[in-house]
Amino acid sequence: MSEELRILPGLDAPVARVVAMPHSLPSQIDARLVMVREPDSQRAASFRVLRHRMSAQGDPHVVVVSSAIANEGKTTCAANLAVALSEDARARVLLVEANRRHPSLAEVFGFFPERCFAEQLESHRQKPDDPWTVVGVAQTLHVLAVRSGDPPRPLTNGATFQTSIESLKRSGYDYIIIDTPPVLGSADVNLVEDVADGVLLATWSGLTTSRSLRLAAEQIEPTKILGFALLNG
Amino acid sequence: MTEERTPRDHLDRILTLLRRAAGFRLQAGLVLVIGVAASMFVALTWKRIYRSETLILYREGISSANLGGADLGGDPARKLGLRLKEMVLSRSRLQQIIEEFKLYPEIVDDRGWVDAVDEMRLHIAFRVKDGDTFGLSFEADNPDRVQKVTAKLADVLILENSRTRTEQAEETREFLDREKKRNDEELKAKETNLATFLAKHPEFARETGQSAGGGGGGQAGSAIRAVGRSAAAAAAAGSGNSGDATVNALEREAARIQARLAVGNTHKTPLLDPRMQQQRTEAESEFAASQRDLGDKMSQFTEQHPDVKAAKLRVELARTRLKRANEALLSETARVPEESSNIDREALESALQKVNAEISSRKRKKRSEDGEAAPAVAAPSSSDWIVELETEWNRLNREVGETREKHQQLEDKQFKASLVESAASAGRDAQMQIVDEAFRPTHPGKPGRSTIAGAGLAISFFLSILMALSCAFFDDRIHDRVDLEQLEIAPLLSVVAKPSKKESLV
Repeated sequence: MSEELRILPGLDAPVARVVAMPHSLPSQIDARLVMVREPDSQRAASFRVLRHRMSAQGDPHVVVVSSAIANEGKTTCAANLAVALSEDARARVLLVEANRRHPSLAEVFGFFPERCFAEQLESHRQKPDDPWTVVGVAQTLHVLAVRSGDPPRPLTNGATFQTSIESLKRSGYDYIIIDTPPVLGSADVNLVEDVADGVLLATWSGLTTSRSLRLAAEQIEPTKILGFALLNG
Repeated sequence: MTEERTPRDHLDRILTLLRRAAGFRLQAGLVLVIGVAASMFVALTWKRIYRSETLILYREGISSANLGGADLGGDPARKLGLRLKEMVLSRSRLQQIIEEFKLYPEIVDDRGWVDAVDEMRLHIAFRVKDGDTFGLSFEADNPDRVQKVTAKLADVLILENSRTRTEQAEETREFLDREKKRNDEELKAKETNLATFLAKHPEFARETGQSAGGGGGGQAGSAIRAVGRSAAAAAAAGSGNSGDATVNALEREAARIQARLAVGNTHKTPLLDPRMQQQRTEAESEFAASQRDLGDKMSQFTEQHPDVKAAKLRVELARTRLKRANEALLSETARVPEESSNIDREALESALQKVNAEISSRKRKKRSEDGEAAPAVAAPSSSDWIVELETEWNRLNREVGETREKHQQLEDKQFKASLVESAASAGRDAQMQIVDEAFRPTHPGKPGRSTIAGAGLAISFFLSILMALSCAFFDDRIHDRVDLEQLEIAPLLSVVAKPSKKESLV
């Protein structure tokens, strides 16, 4: 992979540097990345509808994407939503991976994160003014991914995470999409939701149960729940 | 979020439910396979049950109702059916049959006779059919045994019914015999009392003699009182009726004494012993009964039949008894005039004068009391004895009459009971006949194995469908937008369609 470091244009401070990723053939693109692989499909249109409906819900700028339990399409939903938001050329979108237990964003977009988001979080605890290194997967879509293979750890330092998100917001991103672990079984979402404008819950048809959804909804602050995205429906 | 649903929505929900039920085809198939296997197992191990039946006709022979006997016949079909059913299902008889045919050996060994009898009862059916016909059936797994047991049950029922009727008739007759014996003793005591009274007061015997054959003391009393009334009417022709009960009684006593004196002058009325009269009456009744019995037997059997011979013997005995009673009565009649000649005429005349004087005295006293219009206060008098005497005479007569009437009724009942007993012992009162013999079944009864298998398959199929629908109905998973909307937690923002089979979104 050839790398190119560049400063985002129009930013006041060098808070982020972008690592460009090479273009891939459509057949090599992950099947979960519907917005890139099948941009004209009905399913891609569904993510655009999701973007539109979210705007109608108060146009949240920092959105947490989660689910009740694992394997319900959180990453799929977050990645495609980010791509859908970035289709507007004027909107700059950052996709952040807060799921340190089972990271997969890098795999979806097909790159290896030279600088893991978890490492950068640790670094910014010491040096808050250090610029963030993000991967530019599209013109206005950047990704902060966690390197897979590291031992799974929960998100324990909520204050650092919140400071980091605030810092990234100041970097000029219009939308920050945060891919998190499932709600049930961890408190990561509760640490992240404080800095978010809303939580989008992904549900997988035939997998998610009503009971788990209710439990998840009880764990999240009710006013933060934007709604559901039903996948595979 | 909750919107009013249209019929189309309901239809969609039903179709959705069916689609989801199809998703549980694995579970449904498992239920179906298990059900089919169980059905086949049950069908193959199902015991073939054979059933044999016999028809029994209950027929009235000599109706006991006509005989006036006890309640032996005339049962309504239902009550009779219940009685016969109880006989069939009697534990002791069923146990005998189980022992004889070695039925239910496993149950007998494991659980004992009580359970074996209970098991057999489950396989016996006793039905009341139209008219006086009863159906008795038995079912088991061996056709030969079924036939034999059914025939045995019918035989046992018929024998038991006959025995019961005979016993009942015997008990009735024995009871009536005891009652009659007791009544005989009672009648004898009462007649002795009456005879003792007549011995003390022979003037009352006139009434008995005049009413001989009438039997009622009350009637005799009324006859003699009629004589008394006529005498009193003649005596009171100039003074009117006295209206005094004592005077009336004295006048009847005077009439009786006069009658007795008249008897001494003209002819002697025999004073018969009531006991002898009673014996003669009994002998007559027995003779008539034996003749009726003989006629009845001869209408059924030939002269060589033992019953006819016994009836003839009974007639002869009754005839002899009647003859002896008549002879005894005649000799007593011959003896009475000699006794009556010993009448003390002087004493009777003296008593008559005394009674007449008492009557005159009382009438004078009555007239003087009426003339002074004084309050009628009955003073105690020595003549009250006549009132007491008449009262005692009436009581004794009444008691003897009642006892004789009861005696007559008992004799009638005894005679009828003996007829019933005779008919029952000869099997002529009511008969049970086997109309259809117990048959040997050639085919097992329903349900057959194919029916069992078919029913099992149908039930298994139904259960599998029910299983799939139940799973779909109680499925808690989110399948479509309706499921999410029903939660009413948050709005559904978007539905991303299912990818093709080649793709996977996760």
